[in-house]
Amino acid sequence: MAERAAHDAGRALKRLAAAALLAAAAAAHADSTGYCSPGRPLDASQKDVVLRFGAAVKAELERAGSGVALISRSGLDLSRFSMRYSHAGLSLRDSADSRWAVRQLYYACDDQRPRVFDQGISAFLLGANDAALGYVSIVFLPPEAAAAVERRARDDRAALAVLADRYSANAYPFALAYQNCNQWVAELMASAWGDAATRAEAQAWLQRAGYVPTAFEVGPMIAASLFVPFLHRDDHPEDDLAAGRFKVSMPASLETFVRQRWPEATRVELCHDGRQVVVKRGWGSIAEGCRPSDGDEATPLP
Amino acid sequence: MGPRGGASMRRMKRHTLIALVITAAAALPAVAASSASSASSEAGSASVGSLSTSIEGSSNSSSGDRKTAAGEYKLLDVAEAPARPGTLRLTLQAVPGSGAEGEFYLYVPRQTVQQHALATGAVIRAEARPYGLQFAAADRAFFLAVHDEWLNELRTTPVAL
Repeated sequence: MAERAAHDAGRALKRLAAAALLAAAAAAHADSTGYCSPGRPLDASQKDVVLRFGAAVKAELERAGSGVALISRSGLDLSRFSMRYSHAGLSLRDSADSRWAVRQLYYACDDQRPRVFDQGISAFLLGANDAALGYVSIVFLPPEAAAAVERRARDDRAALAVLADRYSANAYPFALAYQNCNQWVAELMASAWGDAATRAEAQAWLQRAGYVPTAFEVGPMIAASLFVPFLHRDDHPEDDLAAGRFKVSMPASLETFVRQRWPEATRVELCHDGRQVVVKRGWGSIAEGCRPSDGDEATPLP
Repeated sequence: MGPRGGASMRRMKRHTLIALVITAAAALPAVAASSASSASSEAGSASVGSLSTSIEGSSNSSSGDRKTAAGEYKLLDVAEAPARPGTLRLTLQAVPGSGAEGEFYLYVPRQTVQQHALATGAVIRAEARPYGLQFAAADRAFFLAVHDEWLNELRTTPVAL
């Protein structure tokens, strides 16, 4: 009986693996026919929640008064990897279109390449496409560090000087083949603090400065990445691949690096659960589910 | 645990690994890709419009004042708006005692009116928000009238030389 059960489980697992690979392959196929299509749009009630959360985020930016900040948002369930944030950019005060904008890299579906975009805070938050629960982390740099980053970020030529031609969601941070959204931020900060003029110089500076990317321990199933659009292996070191590991720039690795380099930097985290906003000041994390802990501020959505 | 337990654990690990790969693989790029393609359309979406152009004093309003109070309004009429293709004009009249005031026109995409089955006699609730006004019928929001500076925030602009 046990053998039969194990046999069935094995078959089920094989089917699961096949289905998973097929699903991944289907996603790859869909890339040419609509993988970039937006998901189900948020309805008015959902947008209402996100815009009100945006009001709270903007209030924090106003309160800090810094011309630039490292800003990250949730938007993708990475809890399996114990990660809350997937996308980072640089908030800039008094941008062309709005009081607070975020300059960031996205994969531009129409152009089929990564591009740098400016979005207001509202659009940045709506990009997460989730109104039930949302988190934002903002790191404010000390004046000297902020001034250098702000200068580079506002300079279109400098911002584009560290933009790659090809996008990879899991881009290796110390190779020039690809870039993901968070890596663009890393290289822009490197260009500011290391006076780097090119991507190669920025990456060399990041290495010298001790930047440590996030490690995704995927294990033997790393091979499945071959079937998935926007994932690449050819830029990763052989020993990482052999170990089943992708090293990738993520908001968490950016924040850790900034905190190590600029101990005077400060952080605030905000979240909403559709009803209230919770604010935590400091480097700790708001409890899962956006539940306030001692010392956190909790207020109804504005 | 014994051999069976070990095999079971290995199966669990493989199962988890598959899930991890699929999560990492499919989801990471999706968040970036969809953002770029969808965010740019928010400003012109069926559920968001400009406060300054979506609300207009009606022919029966005393002052033509566009300032709209929060509260409940009765939907008096749904009419075509020939000058605004794809848009219908809702005539809203304040329900006494609800905090609402006066009468005004609210211009809403036809698609939204149909989707929410907005018809004469319905009670529409306007709620003040930091971004402007939220309009809801039967406790379900259908349209956000947004201040212009907030509307600008919904743009996604590529940086180019």
